[in-house]
Amino acid sequence: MLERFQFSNPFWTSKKWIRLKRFLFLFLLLSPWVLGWLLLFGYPTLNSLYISFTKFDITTKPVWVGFANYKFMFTQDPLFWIAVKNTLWIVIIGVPVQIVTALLITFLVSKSGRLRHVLQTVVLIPSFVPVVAGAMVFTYILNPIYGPVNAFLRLIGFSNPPMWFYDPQSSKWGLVFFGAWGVGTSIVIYSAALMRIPRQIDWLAQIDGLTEWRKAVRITFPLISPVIFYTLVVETIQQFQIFAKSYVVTAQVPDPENSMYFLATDVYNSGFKDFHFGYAAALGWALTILTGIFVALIFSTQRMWVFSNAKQD
Amino acid sequence: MKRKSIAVIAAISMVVLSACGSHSSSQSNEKANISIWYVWSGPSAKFIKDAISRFEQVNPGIQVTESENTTVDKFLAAINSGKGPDISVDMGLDNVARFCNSGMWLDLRQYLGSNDGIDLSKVFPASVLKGTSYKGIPCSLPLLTDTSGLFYNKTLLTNAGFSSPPKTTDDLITYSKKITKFNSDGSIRVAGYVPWTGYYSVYWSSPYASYMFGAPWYSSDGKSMLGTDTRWEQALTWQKDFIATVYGHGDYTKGSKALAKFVAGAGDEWGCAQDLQAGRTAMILDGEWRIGSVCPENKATKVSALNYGIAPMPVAPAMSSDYGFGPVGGPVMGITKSSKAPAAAWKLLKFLATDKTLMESGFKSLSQFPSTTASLDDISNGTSGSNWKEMISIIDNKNSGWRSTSIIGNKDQSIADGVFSEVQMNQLPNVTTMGFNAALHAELLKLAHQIDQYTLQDKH
Repeated sequence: MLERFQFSNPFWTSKKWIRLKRFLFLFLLLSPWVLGWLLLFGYPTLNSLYISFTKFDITTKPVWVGFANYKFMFTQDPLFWIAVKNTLWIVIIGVPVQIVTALLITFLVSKSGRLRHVLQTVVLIPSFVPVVAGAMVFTYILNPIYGPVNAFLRLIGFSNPPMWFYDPQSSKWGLVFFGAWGVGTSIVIYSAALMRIPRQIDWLAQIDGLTEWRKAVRITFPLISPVIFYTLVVETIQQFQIFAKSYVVTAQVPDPENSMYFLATDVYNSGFKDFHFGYAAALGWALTILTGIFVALIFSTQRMWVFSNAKQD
Repeated sequence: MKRKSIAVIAAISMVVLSACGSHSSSQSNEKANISIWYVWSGPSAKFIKDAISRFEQVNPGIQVTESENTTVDKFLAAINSGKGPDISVDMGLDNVARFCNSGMWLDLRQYLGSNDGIDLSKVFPASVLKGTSYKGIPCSLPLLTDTSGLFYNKTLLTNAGFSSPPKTTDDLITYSKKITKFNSDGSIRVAGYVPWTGYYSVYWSSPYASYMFGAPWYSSDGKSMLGTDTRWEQALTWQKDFIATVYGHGDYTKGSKALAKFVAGAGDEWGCAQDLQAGRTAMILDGEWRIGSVCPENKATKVSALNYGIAPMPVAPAMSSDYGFGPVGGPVMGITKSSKAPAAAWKLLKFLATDKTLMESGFKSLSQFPSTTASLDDISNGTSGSNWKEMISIIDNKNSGWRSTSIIGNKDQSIADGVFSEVQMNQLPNVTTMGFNAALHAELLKLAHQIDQYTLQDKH
């Protein structure tokens, strides 16, 4: 009976059915993840897109307003452009500072011989410190009067050290140094990448008489460039989302000129202080798109400086 | 004899029946489960928890669920989910206009005018009531209140030759010039008064400029007056002149830098190193909680006793006849639109707003003033000390109250404070090309426009 059924329905023996069966089986295996993704990411993402086109104060139902939120954002909200300027500043300055700091420390630690493992652990410690606690500590460290940083600067001859968080001209630099303090994770990644470089290359470089600097630039950097690329993308995304550091710092050091007001801060304030959740959603999308543009730009430069053994299409 | 017996029985019956009647009027039989959310937590919340327990005893049919440590964003999110509280408490008056306007808090007129209502003007001082309603619609009741005044170091003033506190903003400059002392390197050792946005939690800022100079926030049609009323420019020009004259010896830039460094070295506001306590600043605007925070002398930790006085905040010379008033306003509470038992919620709201024991324990535990006239009179007539009485006289002043707010909450203050900071840091945009006055005017106009834009966003 089944045989007759199979012969009269060639689909069940066809390659299409075999492929479909395979697909359904894979989907079944992936379904928990797919469902989770849809529930926890897909649906909220689409919902936030919808909310961004509404006026929604969370106490009444969302009211469709079309592009009004986006129009307000680009043409009438001065805080938005302050936030964009500050966010771009912290990304363009902060990310390179963090990567260069991590690379420098990695190279120094790699030359420390037996102390290498100890130093790798020591430089990782700041990464364990919660951001809130770190921000409170840095507010003290960079206090222009009491803080040890300015005390040291005065000791070495700077009679007028920066006011750090107390001056809009230097406040973001304070955040940059705070960010550079916590590059331990990047150091671990770079150290692992350095360890993968064959020792023979080191020896050959010595034989050829390359200086440390030329070796770093011509050999080491290209070989670990994929890892640097990875950290560049991750740090860029993280810096675009900077919030907790500036939020905690400005809770202790008022910032009436909004020098530490970033896009993520704008999203938070618009939603949870001004109760404009529709507008906050629109700001969130603006932040996402801006981040995406920068990441795409980084990817577009990949061919120019990222060395890879993989086949380039 | 028989008539006498009947009369006695009738009299006893009347007494018993009237007792039953009064018992039923003080003990409600209404059954409901209601919830209240507030910000206090731990020992700070004891005063309200005890009050709620007393309420439940008097209203055995009403069960109250409390949630402490909840802020505005939390109860708004809860309301949106349909599980919001019946009563929510906000720590200040800045959101009243927004909550009244949006219906987040119910219009209380239906309850105030009922048999179970209260006459607000008889229960609360006028200054406390200001700001608890919006466009004449009361949607909140006060739950304790705050005021602020000028705390001054009597010793430092006396040493400089002053026997009474300053009354005008011109006096503040005169006093500060004599009191301020500098170190040999030009840094400030002792400051008179510090007109700096961000210096402690009660600081020279846009709200205080509006109080001290009478600068209005909004016109009758809701437009920002920041750029059009010249009193704002007067306030900021005064700030600039103060910094230049007192801290820069005539040099605005020098004064700004010196003051920025001085503020950066401020002692912990809630400890014994606070600048007024430590003798670092002679005069400071602060709230009544400062009275409870003053540290006694402690030789072991090198804390000196503080010989201080309190006075109303100084005002612009044009307002000197109004001297004696100050900002008044504190926590407020309302019945939320998500309430399923608003009538029962009203009972609790009224109870908390008028309970004498709550007022007394809030005053003792939080150093925060009661919001009812009766409790304030008790403190005034009691033995709490002249400092409390001085601050109560500010609450009693007919001109006292909270600044006018709008449906954008305190966003207007956040925007306006930006120009105060620009002035104190000598970073006003275009000041080198336009000159201070023109640059200030342009900046105020720009900020007024921003405030109007946000107001429009909220309206639409």
